[in-house]
Amino acid sequence: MLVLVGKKSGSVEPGQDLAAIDEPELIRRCKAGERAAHDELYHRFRRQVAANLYRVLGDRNEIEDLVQEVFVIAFRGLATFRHEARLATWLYRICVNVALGRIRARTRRPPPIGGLDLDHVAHGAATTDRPESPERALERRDDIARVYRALDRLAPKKRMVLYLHEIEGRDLKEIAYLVEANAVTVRTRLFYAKREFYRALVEDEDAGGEP
Amino acid sequence: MSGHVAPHRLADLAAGRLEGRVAARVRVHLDGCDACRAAWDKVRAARGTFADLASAPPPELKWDRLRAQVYWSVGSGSFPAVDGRADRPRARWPWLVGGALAAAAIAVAVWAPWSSSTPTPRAAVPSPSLPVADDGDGPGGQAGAPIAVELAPTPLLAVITLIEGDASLVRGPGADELVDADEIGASAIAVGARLATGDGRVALQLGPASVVTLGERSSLALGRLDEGGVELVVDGQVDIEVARRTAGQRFTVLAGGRTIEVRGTAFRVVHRDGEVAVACEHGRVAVTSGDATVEVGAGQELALGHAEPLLGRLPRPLDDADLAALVASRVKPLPAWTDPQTVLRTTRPLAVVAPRSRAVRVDNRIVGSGPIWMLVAPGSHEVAAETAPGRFAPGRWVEVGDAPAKPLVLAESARPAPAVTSAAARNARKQELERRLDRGRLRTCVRDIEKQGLLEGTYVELEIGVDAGGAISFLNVGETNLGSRASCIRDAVASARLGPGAAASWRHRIAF
Repeated sequence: MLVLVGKKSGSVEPGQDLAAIDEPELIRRCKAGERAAHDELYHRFRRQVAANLYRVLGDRNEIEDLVQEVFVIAFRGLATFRHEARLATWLYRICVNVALGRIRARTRRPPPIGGLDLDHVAHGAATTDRPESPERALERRDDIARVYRALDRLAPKKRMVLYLHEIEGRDLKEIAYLVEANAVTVRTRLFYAKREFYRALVEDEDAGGEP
Repeated sequence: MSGHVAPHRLADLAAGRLEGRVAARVRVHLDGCDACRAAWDKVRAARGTFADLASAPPPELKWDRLRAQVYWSVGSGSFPAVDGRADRPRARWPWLVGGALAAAAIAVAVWAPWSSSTPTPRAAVPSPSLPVADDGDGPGGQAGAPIAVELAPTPLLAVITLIEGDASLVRGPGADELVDADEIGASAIAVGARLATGDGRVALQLGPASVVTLGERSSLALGRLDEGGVELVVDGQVDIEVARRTAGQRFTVLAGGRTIEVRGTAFRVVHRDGEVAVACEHGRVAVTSGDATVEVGAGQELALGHAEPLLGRLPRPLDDADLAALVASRVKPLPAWTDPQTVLRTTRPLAVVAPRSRAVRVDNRIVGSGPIWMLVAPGSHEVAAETAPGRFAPGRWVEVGDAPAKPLVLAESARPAPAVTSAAARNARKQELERRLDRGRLRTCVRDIEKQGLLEGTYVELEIGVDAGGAISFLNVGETNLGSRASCIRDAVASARLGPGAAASWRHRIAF
């Protein structure tokens, strides 16, 4: 049946009772197939998922599709969720997998016109702190662009561990869970990733280049 | 220290990971080496941005629309919340289990050739019960095939996912009925079916990323549809995107005396009055006529006049506008395709009535223009119609559930001036509407009144506008003594599909 529910009710927020429930209960209800619980899960984690993907990839292209993919995988895989990690961490692991797929696809085809979209990063950071001069903002934008250019030169798996370690500051154990590898593998991967990344960073001559 | 300091060691220094004498030696080197000093500055500047990167705020997305798309994707596939069945985990992390499942799936030969390459527990295609079939004498028969003791290829099914404007379907040989959109979508399409379009398109999905889009005023017959091959007989325009096929499976399009065989993926065939044009967006197709074959590659087109010999003809490159038109004309496949039966079980029809020339957007994706019928996942969907070229009215959220859907009328979004028509045209349209009205559906609107014996003498007067394409451009309830039931009748009238003809507007009285 097709029921017009109007614009307001179309963006229904989860009910109050669900907003207050804790994570295990939310997962239990999701596993039971409760639609409202899925809505609540989506509502709680959507921004976090989008932020994770955005930070890892550094651009907004296809971010909507990727967020969608993460939640589709999560909703389908909730039945297998065994509480080994917090839900947020589990979702982050899915984000990592989806982002890796995206990075691999990106390496097989030329980057989209416009490339990185870093204004948001630079602007977002600038507004959190002190006001910046335009020159300083431009410099930082260049620095960020250089970081992502260097990341783009790494193999996807190396890029991911480097990002998680150097930029997010996660330890090897956490990274091992997120990338589904053991800690020794992660350490080795990280060693080579750092070497390649910082070399690429230093050799990058396109400091003022258009990202 | 000989040579220069490796950049990653500079990063270690910046991060405080070097201590004591090692750190001191690096610092001493930095003092005396300009190159390393420059590298140090770059490393430090980059590391200074790490905190910004790690805390960059998420981009603002259209969250409600995104949620609808998530449910759409999830609902089209295997989702325990939809059908209440426990689903098994994706064979993603446990590779061994995945491999065993894949091997088992291959061993029992249930892998559907049009399903994804990673078999999932629900990817097995239930054995399709086809109407009579296939005696091998049809256009896609086995003529010329070696006579051997071999299993007949497993028949396949297709699903109509979108109807724009008018369409008719004949389900198979011997049948000759005009099937309305709801019924077309109610079951899968098998070999022998014939589709025809008026001023609109029909999309037929064969697999996860294999879609055949029949263009305006075109017809298509499914000459063959099985694991051994797919054969489409086309008159008019058809856009085809073909994904993975099984080994040895052929995909051919018969257009007049020419045969177009798919080597790759996305292409268009136009066959009108003996003339054939084949345009290939990506991949490669081979055009055959008699003994001659010409391959058309990505970004090329081959146009052949009536009875024009193929030998010696070369394809010409397509320009950007042609390529863009090719891409735009294709209907996107349903996401999360499993198999036709599952798709039909987990999707629901959404009918939208909009003026013919206006684009319709569902969940922020333009799906076509004018009146549209399409399969969607159950749940909320945002639907909007174009009000002016490139501009859309605010979206309306609709909830698509299990009960039969009423069409969503978006006619008000672009109401044209009332058509000035002759009495003859008006009468023709009135009669056509009378023929196309679903009387049974009208009756259901007044069933309660009928049960009380009060039906006689009731009526509804409707103001109706129809454009030349047959789309209802406006539909208002006028005088009535049926109260709120008039809107039910209005919706039933809105679902009537009219063909191309004269534009007309008139007052239509439906009396019981």
